[in-house]
Amino acid sequence: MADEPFRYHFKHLAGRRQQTFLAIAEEIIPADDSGPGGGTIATAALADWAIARLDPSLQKLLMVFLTVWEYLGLLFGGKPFTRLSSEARQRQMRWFERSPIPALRTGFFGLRAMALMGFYCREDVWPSIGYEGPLLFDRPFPDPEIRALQKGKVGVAP
Amino acid sequence: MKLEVDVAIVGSGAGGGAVLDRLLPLIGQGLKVAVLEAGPYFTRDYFTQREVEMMGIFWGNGAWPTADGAITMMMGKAVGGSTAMYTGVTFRAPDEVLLEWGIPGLTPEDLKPRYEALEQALNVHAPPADFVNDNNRLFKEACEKLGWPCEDLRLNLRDCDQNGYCNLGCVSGGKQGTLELQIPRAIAAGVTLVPNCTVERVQDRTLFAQVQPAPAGTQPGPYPPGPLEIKARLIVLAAGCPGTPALLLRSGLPGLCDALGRYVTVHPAVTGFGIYPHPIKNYRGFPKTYYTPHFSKSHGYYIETCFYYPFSTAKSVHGWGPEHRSLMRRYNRMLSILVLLHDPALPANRVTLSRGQAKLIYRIHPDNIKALAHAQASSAEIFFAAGCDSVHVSLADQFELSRAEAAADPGRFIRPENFIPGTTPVSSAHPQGGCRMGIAPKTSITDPLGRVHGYPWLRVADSSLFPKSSHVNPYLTIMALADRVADGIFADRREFLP
Repeated sequence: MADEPFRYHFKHLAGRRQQTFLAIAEEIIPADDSGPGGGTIATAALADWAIARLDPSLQKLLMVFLTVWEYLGLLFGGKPFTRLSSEARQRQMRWFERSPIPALRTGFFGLRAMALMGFYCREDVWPSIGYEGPLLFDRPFPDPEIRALQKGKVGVAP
Repeated sequence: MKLEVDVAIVGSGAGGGAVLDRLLPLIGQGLKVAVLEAGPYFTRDYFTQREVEMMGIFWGNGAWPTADGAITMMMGKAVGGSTAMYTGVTFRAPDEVLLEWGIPGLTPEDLKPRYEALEQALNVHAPPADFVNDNNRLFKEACEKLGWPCEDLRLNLRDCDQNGYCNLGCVSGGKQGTLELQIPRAIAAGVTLVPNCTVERVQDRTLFAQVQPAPAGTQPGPYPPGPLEIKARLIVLAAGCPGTPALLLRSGLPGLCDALGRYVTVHPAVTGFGIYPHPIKNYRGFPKTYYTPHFSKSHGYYIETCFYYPFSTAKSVHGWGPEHRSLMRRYNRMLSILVLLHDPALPANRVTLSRGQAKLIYRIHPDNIKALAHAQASSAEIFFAAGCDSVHVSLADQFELSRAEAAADPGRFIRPENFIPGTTPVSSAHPQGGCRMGIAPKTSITDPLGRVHGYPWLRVADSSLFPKSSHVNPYLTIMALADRVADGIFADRREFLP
């Protein structure tokens, strides 16, 4: 069925970490009148696929960073990041972006890159930025999963 | 598995390809040569022009940062090396750079005939008029309005169909990289190509490697996954920077001096954006045809045209949130240019090892940050002169500079203090150094012909030879140096070759 969402099995961005990632992605790419923001399963799934192909040490760092990020929300609004207001989330993000600790800045830069990849590599997003996509739009790729994820219709596999 | 050859070449990029080409006549006479490439063998059919699918052609799948995370290194991991994903921009190293390098025998006069021969073989030429898309046309017009020189970026293309996706692999084969030219010729001549082959150590004319499985959709090599030991009379390291210095560091060859791994330059690159009043679709057409050297001598940078795909663009746009999204919604109105900084060769900037893997320790020099602020002000002048309504550069006090407030003097809004390592987007596709050539074994790793000091059977033929930055896109100079390394091999052939 062409309209059925593609069922994706998350390898890294699962459970609580997925919620944290979605909350960050929504602040990085907020919804506007051109469409929904980045905090969707479709963004997370594409990012998860990409994370699964990174160097294992980098994967581990990103996952630890997401967990730390969630609980450092306590310092910015007394709650974990996913339960903060949007204003408090942005306060935390601005602090990380300019943190005196280099690892926190680069960790945030890495998450930002993953959110932007998960969003701007999606075919359903391209019309909103005036991008008509590759000239060889339908050229097949050996991994059909990533091609399906780029369509932007994604559900979570049980 | 074991393999025995006369010459083993580690790496199949610009340096390895140039050495291969020179060895072809000897291969015809029976010389046995193997090329060991860490990356897969992608063919044109593999390239889909989609960023996320093509991440596998880059080291670290496109996420290979410097140790402090401040610079994203973009190197090709493929048969063809970085020539599989460059734009084909072809520069000769300026004479003053070669003189500054101060390597005996490596003079402008020595390189000139090599450059000429390579340019002819690679079909290097100025871009024809029909290659110039709006991004490039407007850049040129703006430079002319400002009275700044605007020069052609010479390109190594043949029958290019101007898809515009050069950095994701060339689907037409128009780009005259190693993947298209030297590798097919070498295979036809009988060279053994081993893709997916990570060389771990070199010792006493022997390479110890691991063959990895070929990724789906790529050409398999002649050996199954597992250990591979390669014995050779002569070994040429052409794995680039950081590949070659990391391999030598792992190997622990006695007697190499402390310069090993050091004096790395990366040619830091930062993208800036202008927003044009109406859609111009600069993602179509050839992305790079002009540059201005106007500030090279006075401030230490070049400005080149460029244009990238949506994710790469989004990553290069500073910041996040509503402003970032608003700018990206105008992707099809963007003009884009790339600042390339001439960085100093310092011993502290170095390749080292972390659990046996290459790690690049590099800190952007304060003078480069000052130069970047100047370059972004110059970029803003170009964008406004081109007719843009607004400009986004990462060192500006505000996210977007409007024509009304900033066109008269954009430099007032752009300050080096706004540079934050790890937050300000910086990338590099031109790492150089780490095995600097020279005369004295106490201060260099190889002699001027790439012979590793104390190891006459071991040669280096890649960008790691550069003692200082080339200032310009380096591939042609890598090939010219590799051609000199081949001279050395021929000079010593009676000693090493059958």
